[in-house]
Amino acid sequence: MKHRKFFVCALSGTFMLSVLLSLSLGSYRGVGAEELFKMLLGEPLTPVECAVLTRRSIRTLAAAVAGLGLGLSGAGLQYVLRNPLADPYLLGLASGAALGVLIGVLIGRCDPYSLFTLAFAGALATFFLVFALSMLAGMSALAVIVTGITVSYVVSAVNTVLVLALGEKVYGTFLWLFGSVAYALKERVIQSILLVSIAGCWLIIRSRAINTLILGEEVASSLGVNVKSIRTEVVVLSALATAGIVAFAGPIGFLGLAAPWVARLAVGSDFRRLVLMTMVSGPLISILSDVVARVMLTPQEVPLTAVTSVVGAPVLLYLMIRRRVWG
Amino acid sequence: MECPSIIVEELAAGYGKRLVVKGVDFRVERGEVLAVIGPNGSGKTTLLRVLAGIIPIVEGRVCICGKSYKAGSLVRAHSLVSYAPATPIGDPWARVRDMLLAARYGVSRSLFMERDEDKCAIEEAARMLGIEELLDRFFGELSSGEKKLVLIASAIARKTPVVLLDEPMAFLDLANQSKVLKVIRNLASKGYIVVLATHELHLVPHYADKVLLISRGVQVGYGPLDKVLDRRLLEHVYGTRLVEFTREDGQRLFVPE
Repeated sequence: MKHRKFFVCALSGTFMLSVLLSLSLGSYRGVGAEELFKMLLGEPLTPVECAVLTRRSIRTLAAAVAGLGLGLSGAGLQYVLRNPLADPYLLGLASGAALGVLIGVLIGRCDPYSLFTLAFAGALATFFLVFALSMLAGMSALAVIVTGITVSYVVSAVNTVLVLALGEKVYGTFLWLFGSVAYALKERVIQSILLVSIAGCWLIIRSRAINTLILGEEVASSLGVNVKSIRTEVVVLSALATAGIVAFAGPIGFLGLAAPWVARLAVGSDFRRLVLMTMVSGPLISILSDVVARVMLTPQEVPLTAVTSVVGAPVLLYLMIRRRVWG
Repeated sequence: MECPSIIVEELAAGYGKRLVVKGVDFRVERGEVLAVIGPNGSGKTTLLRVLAGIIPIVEGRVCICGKSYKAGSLVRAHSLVSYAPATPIGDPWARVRDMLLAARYGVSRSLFMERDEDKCAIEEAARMLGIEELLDRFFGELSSGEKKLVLIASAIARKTPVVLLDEPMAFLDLANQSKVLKVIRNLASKGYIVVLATHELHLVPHYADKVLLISRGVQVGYGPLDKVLDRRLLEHVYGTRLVEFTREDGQRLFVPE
């Protein structure tokens, strides 16, 4: 119990720090911690400083929303699919949503509403494809993930071709394809906040029922939980949240896997605590990753997935190794 | 919460169009233990799953604690019935304590997180099964027998008047079998109704008041122990020769030849 409190405080503290870090670091060196504190103290800023800080705030907010949405989706999917490796990226939701967005851009339907609808449809379609194929492969946790990764690869390949076909028509698409919040549009981020909040609230409301799944589906249904309906709810909500995020940040990998597991290390497997903690760990990992992505090769941007993979891949490996030891 | 009886009439149930259980009739009163026996695949688990409200009744009627459930409906008595399945499955990363608390779903009086009374209930259940030391361990690192005890404890921690146990002795060593035997008798003496499916025929006389024998989903024997536990009948149903022993108290026991 003691270490739980320590972890919660440590994670929350680091989260605050990461926000300050994200606001004070960037390719424009003229604005740093000093200017940030000036703003916080209410002192007047030059128009340039103001513009840079505004841009960084949007970027930080975008990263936070992406981390929040993907983390929550991952947490929900891991419980309802009873698969510790589930993640919107590994299950193909993210690449499917990206395909939807690209199709929208190609056919010239670039208004946020159509783009989002297409992304949502793409995410759900890929998910069902992955699910159907993994049924053939035996539905084990690993089979689902391997199928998900395989389908993701094929869809990502199509996405890459589409982006190359678009050429220089849309600025930043190539960076977007590997996940980045560098060019996130304010409107898209706000639209996404709405979706992620809906998904988050729903997960909290249903968290007690979802939590019974740690006893297995059989016992959960004997407790009066409608497992099928809860699974559909979580998959649809995850697709919604992921589609909203992909629309502004592209497919970001491993966040949905790493965030819930960091939260689990802090608060244990109770889904009610886990969901609340993922709301801190998700944004934390994604904001820190974004900071690294922009300072690593300044002024060049590094794709976000390149950074989150470094955090997420060890988590995936650790889980698989532990799983093998336990049998 | 008191529960006077479970009455099952002409019950049929199954999966899709395939009926696994047909024409089952029995009645268990408060404080009684019913042992459901029969060969593998005879429909014991399916019967328990109907009572647990996991699969619907296809034909017939089930009456639990005064509420009647008709053909086509689920037995929605989830707050009165607890169920421990035969194979111990659970999240390997969950701690045992969290699993037992999760099982208080539907019976806990709090809205979101469990309260002290829930914690007392799970600690009492853990004590009854002697698994207090496992409470802070991961489910995945336990042995099959320990996992089985955890699932039985999670059913008992709910403190519902009806407890359904599917093969409660499976995976357990002799000491733990005797512990579970005591727990079953203890529950019955407190007025609980216990329905369990089992293959350990030699243990049935230790705890059961009535026996239900099913074969290929059809009821072939029901009633007090000496009526159903008959060597000829059992040999016919199980399709194997049995050896019969008589215990000092006159109770007959059967083991495979």
